[in-house]
Order: sequence, then structure tokens, then C-alpha cells
Amino acid sequence: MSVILDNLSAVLVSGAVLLLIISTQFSAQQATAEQTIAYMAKMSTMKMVDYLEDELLLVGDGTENAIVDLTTNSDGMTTNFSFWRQDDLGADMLVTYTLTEQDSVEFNDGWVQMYQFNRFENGVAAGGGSSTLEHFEITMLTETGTQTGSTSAARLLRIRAINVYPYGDPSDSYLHRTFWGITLRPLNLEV
Amino acid sequence: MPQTLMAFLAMMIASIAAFNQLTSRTQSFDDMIQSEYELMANAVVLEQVELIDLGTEYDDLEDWDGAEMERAFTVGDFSITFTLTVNVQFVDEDGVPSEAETDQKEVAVSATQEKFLLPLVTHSRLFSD
Repeated sequence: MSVILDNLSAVLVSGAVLLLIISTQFSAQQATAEQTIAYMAKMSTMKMVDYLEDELLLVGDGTENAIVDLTTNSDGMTTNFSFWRQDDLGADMLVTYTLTEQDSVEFNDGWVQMYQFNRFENGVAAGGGSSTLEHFEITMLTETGTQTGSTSAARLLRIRAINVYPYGDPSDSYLHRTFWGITLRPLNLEV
Repeated sequence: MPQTLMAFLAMMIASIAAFNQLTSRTQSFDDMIQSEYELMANAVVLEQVELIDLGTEYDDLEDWDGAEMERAFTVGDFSITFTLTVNVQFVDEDGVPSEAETDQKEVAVSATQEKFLLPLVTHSRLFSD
């Protein structure tokens, strides 16, 4: 009888230990995958914004005009932003940023509409960025930091973005957004 | 008796391993969340530095010394408020703080947030006479 009980308890204990180790290992794998995806999404966002920072500092560089149009939708998102700058050969170039709707994705806090960031040079598609933007906005600020709709009064450009990174079952993931923002001072807006 | 002790030891080791893994995961998520806050703080601090640069004459920079203000990082429906602190001091040509008056001033803006004990980011900019 005692041999049976010993064996039974050994099976129970080893089963419990095995389950604990397996669940720990599974949890570690899931966390590692989620963190890697979050890291890659952040790198992707930073790559796009590095380019934006470099380019927006050149607004109006060497051209007669600077900002042409800034259109914002009812959600405060910039759907069209056009400005003049010089290209690498010194010719005037009209650069336009637009957003186009992509798929929606469901997170714990509801459905999120994602957008693709597009870039055009003189009306021709030339580059772009993330296709998982939840929000993207460019705001013109005066020298006192107040928002303005006047391109002639603008001295600063405030850019804000949210990039989402859907992964697996949203209810199992904790982080699925990365935020970014900067305020730039294109010197040619002051001329 | 030895079997019982061995079983207890096995369960204890497995529990410690699980606890360590959970702690590590929590720490890792905390770090990721802090990095998000740092990116947002970076945005509001840089904006304040630009505003000081744009709107203040060199001789008036001291007016900002010790100033504290609340600034929000707002995007869409999301908003987080940071407290910014400005510090202005003279620095020598090597950028070392100087008690004596020099031809350069360093304006440093730091951002703190109630969830974190230490400043999240600090940006400095040198201004020359």
C-alpha cells in the first residue's frame, strides 16, 4: 500500500513541477516575442521619424514659398501636408504627405483604424512610411507656441504620431502602441 | 521522508524559477513603458527649448531660471502631463558651469512625471552672447 502511495505522490509532485516549468517557459517565450515585436515596431517608427525630422527642417529651403497646405480631419489627423523644398540638384520640389486608410485591428480598448503614411515629390509617389499608424498630426505653431492655421505665422512644426503593432491575440498582449513626437524649427519659416 | 523532502525541494526550485521569470518580465515591461514616457517627455522638452530659443533675448534668459510649468503631450484623445523645470547657468568655453559671468549660457530643461521618481529627460542648449 505504501509503495502505491509513494508512486502516486511522486507522479503528482512531478506532474505539478512539470506543469509549472512548462507554463513558465511558455510565458517567457510569449513575453520575449512581444518585446521583440515592440522593439521592431519602435525601430520602424524611429526610422520613419528620423527621415521626417531631416526633411521637415528643410521646409522652404531655397524656395520662394514654404508651406502650401495643411489639411486636418475631424479626428485631428493631418491628411495632407504640402511644402516646397529643394531637391538634391537644387531644383524646387513640392513634397506632399498624405494618409490612406488601411485595415482595422481590435485591441483590448476597441477597434483601431490604421493608416498608411505616403510621400510624394511633385505629385509622384516617392517613399512613405509605416502602414500601421493610428494617429499622425502636424501642427503649425507661432513663436509663442500657440497653434495657428496661418502658414505665414508658423515658426514651429509640431509632429505627433502613434504607431500600433498588432500581435497575436490582443487580449494576451500588454503593449501595442508606441508614441512619438517632436517640435521642429525650420529656419526658412522665419525668413 | 527523503522522498517528501526531495518533492518539496523540486517544487520550491520550480516556484523560484517561475517567480524569477515573472519578476524579469514585469521589469522588462516597466522598462518598455518608461521608454515610451521618455519619448513623450523628449517631445515636450524639445518644444520648450525651441520656444525659449525663439522668444527670448540672450540677456533675458535668466528670467527662465527656476521656472516650472506643466506641459501635456497630447495626441488624438491621449494626453499625459509632464512637469518641466528650467535651469539657466553660465558655462565656460568648455561647457563647464561657471560661477563667474561668461559669454555663454546653458539652458537645461528637465521633464518629470508623477509616476517616476527621477527626471525622464533633460535637454540643454548653449546660447552665446
